[in-house]
Amino acid sequence: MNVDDVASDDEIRQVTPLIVNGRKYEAYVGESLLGFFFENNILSTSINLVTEEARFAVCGMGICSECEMVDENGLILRICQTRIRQNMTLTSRGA
Amino acid sequence: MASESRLRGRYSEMKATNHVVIVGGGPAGLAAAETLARSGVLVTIIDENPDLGGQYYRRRTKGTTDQLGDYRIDGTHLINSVKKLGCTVLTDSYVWGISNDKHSLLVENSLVGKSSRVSFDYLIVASGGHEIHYPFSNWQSTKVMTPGMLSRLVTIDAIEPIGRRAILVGSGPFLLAVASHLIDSGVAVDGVFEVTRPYRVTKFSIFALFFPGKCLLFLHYRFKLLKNGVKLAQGSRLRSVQDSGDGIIATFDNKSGGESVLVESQLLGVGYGFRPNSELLEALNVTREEPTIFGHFYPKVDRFGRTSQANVFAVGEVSGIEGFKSAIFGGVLSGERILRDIKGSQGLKSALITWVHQLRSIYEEAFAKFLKKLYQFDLEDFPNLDSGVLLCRCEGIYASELDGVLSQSESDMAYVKSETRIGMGLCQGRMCGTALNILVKKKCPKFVSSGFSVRMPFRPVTIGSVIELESVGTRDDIDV
Repeated sequence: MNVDDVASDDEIRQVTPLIVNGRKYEAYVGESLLGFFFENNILSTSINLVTEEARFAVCGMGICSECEMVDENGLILRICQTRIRQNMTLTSRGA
Repeated sequence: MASESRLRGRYSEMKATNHVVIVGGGPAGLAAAETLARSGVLVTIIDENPDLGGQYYRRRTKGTTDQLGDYRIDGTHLINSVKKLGCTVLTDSYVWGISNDKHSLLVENSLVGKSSRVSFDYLIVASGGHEIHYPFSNWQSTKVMTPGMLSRLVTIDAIEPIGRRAILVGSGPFLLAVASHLIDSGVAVDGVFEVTRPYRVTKFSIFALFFPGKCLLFLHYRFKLLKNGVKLAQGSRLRSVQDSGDGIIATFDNKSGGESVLVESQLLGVGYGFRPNSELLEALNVTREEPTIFGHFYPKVDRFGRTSQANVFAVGEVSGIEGFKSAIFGGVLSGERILRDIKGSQGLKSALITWVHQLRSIYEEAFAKFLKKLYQFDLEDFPNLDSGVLLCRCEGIYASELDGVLSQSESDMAYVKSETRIGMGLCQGRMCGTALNILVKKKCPKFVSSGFSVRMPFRPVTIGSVIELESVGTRDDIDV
């Protein structure tokens, strides 16, 4: 799938609701999810199932898997590799 | 338009046996793709990111570009050129396996959670590398990240830096580059802590004069640190990080002894250079170089990136951490070599161009060797871990759990993994494998450095995706 299929030029800069762990935010379609999380001081993307600690992205390049969240379709995505889409709902793994 | 229709003409004449698949859309992969597609070769690029560019040419989003302008515009030109030349681009897609006949990659699209096979006649692995980690107390803090991620946040995602402070820890010239990016973006850098001692003037330093452009860049970074009052410490080992309100307190000890040093900041970027993303090459059984001190392996390649496996090339950081220029020359050379295979002998002009590319590649490789020697590690750079240090972040395994296991006289990575579950988590040992290799080496001198053995899937995939892939049977020639 090409990036153009994810967010066309027309969609970019459109404001969309974005729900993270039940809390509603507004975000721009096509922007970086990692940047959005950081800018909004959401420094917790997952809960480690063993230690039950909050975790946040470490590598920013899809290696550490600490930033994996589950989207509204049940797909697991890494926020460091994902752009904001219309009406996303993200839930921490293990939450 | 005329050139486009000519290209389309060539494209349709290409035989199906000349399909080149490139894994990784960074500088090396893009350069190879451009070289090949310009001559009408059918090229498919597979990349995990939402857009081409890899880490070095990572694209700003359109909104950020509109506000702040483009970043590394040469990357934009290269990406546009590759797209214009008609390469098939599979973004948001990662390779998680390879077919038994070694001619099809198993690829999952992360946006839809579905897998497919992508067959190839030539394979160029340009999967890059990632930063090396070594644990310390509380490295699971959410304020700890890699220097690369800090750099990305301020340059690509263009995060508002107001009130943000950071320290950089680890090893390598990349720390200086990141410090420079942070300062330029308005982030206060509270120190750069290098574990080795590369900045002492020794007899070896004279070799730096062979690389005047790089020396000037180093002086530029050094001057910027001095001007902004940033401390550059050498021989500093990071022991722990404590969360403290909005920030952190990092504790360092000096390899030469003396009291520990405490540094307050808000974020900590830590990385010990880079290692190759070599899983695919390992699965292809290509011949390896001697493993590094960290147990990482590089493939044995010639100047064109050819590996021991027929029609399999490795270029860019996956074949040696030598910087983006070397990656670009490597990509171009691999493309030129494949063209020679497909089209027969080169003309005099192209042979001369290839020769010049080889010279440039040799120069970049020489500089990489100089840096490797300058920032050379020894095992003492990495302290033994206190029992309360988390070793495997994914599986929640602490260093104390190694106690009984590492008392074995001949431990190896597979044994420790099976006894403790270290490396069995989502990151598949990419975060803890290096540290475990060092700890085993320290305890068992006979141990020959190695990473965890590679098994499919190289990346976590959904079970449904695998089942669906199997349901399409033995087709190895699925059109992409």
